[in-house]
Amino acid sequence: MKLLKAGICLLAMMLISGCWGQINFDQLTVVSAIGLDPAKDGMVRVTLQLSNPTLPVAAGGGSQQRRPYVNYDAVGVTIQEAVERIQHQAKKSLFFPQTKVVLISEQFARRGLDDTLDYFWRETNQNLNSWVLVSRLPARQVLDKAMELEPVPSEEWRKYLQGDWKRPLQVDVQMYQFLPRLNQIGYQAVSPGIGPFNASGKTDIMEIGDTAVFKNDRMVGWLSGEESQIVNWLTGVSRRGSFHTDFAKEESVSYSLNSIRVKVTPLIRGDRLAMMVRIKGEAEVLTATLPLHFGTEQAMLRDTLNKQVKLAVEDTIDKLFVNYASDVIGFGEALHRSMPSEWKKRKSNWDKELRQVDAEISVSFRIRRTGLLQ
Amino acid sequence: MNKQQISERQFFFIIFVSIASLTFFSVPSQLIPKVKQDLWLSMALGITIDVFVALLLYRLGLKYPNQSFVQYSRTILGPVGNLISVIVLLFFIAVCVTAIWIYSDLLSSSLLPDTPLIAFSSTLTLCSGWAAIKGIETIARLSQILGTIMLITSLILFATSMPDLELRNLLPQFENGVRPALMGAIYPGSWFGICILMGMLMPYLRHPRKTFRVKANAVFLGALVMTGYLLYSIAVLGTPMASQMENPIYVFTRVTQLIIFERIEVLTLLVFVSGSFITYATLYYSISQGCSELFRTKSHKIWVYALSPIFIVLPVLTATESFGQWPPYLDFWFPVIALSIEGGSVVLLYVASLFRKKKR
Repeated sequence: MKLLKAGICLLAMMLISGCWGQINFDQLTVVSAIGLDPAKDGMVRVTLQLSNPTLPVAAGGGSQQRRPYVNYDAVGVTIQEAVERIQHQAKKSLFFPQTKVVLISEQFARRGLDDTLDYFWRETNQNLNSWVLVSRLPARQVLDKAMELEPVPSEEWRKYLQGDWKRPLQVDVQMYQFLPRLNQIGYQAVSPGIGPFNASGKTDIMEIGDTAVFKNDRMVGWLSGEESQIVNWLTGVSRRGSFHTDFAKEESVSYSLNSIRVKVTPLIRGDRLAMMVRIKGEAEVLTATLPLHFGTEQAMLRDTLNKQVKLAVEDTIDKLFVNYASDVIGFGEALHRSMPSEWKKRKSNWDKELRQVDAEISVSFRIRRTGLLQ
Repeated sequence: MNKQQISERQFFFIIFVSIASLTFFSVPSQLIPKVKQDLWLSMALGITIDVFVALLLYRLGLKYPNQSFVQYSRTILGPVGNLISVIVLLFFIAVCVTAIWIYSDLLSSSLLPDTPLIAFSSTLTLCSGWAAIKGIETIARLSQILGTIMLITSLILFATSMPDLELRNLLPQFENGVRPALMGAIYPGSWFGICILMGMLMPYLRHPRKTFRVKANAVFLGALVMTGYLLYSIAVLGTPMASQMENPIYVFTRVTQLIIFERIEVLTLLVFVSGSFITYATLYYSISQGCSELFRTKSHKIWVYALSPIFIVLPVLTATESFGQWPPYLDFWFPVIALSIEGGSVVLLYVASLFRKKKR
């Protein structure tokens, strides 16, 4: 009797291997990037970059002539429909959980995203950790033309966006952060942009720079690298940066900024909303094109730095709140956190409120090092 | 009689595992959209409700040593006590069916979409039923192992998710006043209260006097771990996303990374499945034991067999599914009925027992 029970248990263990639901690796294709473009009549063109894994060299894979990736595209009313059409072309089971990058073309972003992106909310196999990029060219072209060091371009982009070192001038956002912010008035979505470095030739190196600003689910504009850096500081994502101060006669001093602490506090003055921004940090001189005397000129350098940073921050906030009327630095959420009753009152007119915000910015950097080893 | 006995530590782990996995079932999807960041208060109130009921059960258990809930309800109130026991047992059966339904639903939507639901309910019933037949001592020993694994896994998940935390998502606290948190307390309170099955288990404890303290500690720890999970989900995902997902804890573990490992939602599922198994086995055993005492059969094993078709078939019927997905069921009726049966029956018995003593 015991033997019978043991036998049944062992037999049951065979069920664990999942043989009946198996999909072998050669029947899968890994989707490494999804590209979204607009198509006519409000439809969406989905491009999938499928990577073709090469066998390791030891197994004889080194000399294989295989394309490292291939792009398929199809048009559909929803992303789901387009993906089903691509399934016919791809002839293998599409494996989504390893998606590295989702490319949204600028045209599509400006048309309006929300309904289409519902797919990413619901589909359980989607990778919520994939990185979102907005491409200046149609996504299909970017995926076709991209030439990177890695055989599969989206892998290179993912490594770039994941790395920490380039952080100052670049925002980065993953799908799980991007999706809810499309509907959040108090903290709108941003996304890094990607475009070709030279807009010519069959293959191109892609440059990830600039930031696309969204208002609700539509894209409204771009921010330059320096402005994205300021957005990173104000949202607390980055605590480092670089800044370039200009002096008379085209001289300049550039600094590397560290340990930046930013405090954004909403205040109510009478009936008006004010935003107090306090930025503190340390600066280190990187290069100077004019001869500097640190003993005597330190105060002047510091004041110039502080003044110019303040100006840059003011300009960025102006551009965001007045031109784009989009709260990508999370000021609304900051108000929500500190004064929930005020937020409830002002939430419905948040566009108008943003335009009327008084921004009081105070910047104080301390110049610590001169960059010379003396 | 060769009675099985369980030690305090085993009892602690049974309760801890039960609390943690019971809350996992439907509390996150109810609490987070309604209460959001203040849910720690709802959990704390839920603990208070449960500890209060536990205190009453403890006193009753001491007053009637070596008698389980069913037995002393008969002693206190006679035939009415039998009626109470029947209601309580039926309620537990309904809870089991709900729990298995949620379990099958979650596993099928996240992990194994093509598997027919009946495979989940039948495998779970088979394993838990087998454990229930073997008795509480088996279940207790198993719960020690699985409880420790659950605890360690949860701590690992908490520690490694720290880089993704945005603590400011947890503010503002009490933006709509205290009322949502107070009203939200019925959800954890009702699911925690299922641990009144401790009333069934008290006769088996080696040192009945320590029951209350052990139970209170276990409830506290279980609720602490679950509050940790819920607050982490909000902190990582942000309130808008967490409120819209059906199972925010699952999504939260999907998004975070464990050193170099991604997709650690398998750890969550491990915790969930093993916790469900222990909880369900304990409930199954308690129900069968209760039925056998109620109907005075010789052993509980026959009840395990008798109830198994209900547990295998009922949760996977379409009717159950549409009933379960009817929003007021989990929103309102379940917590209210649960609290009234759990709390009400215990309070009734306790008050009646006071009168009985005075009568003598």
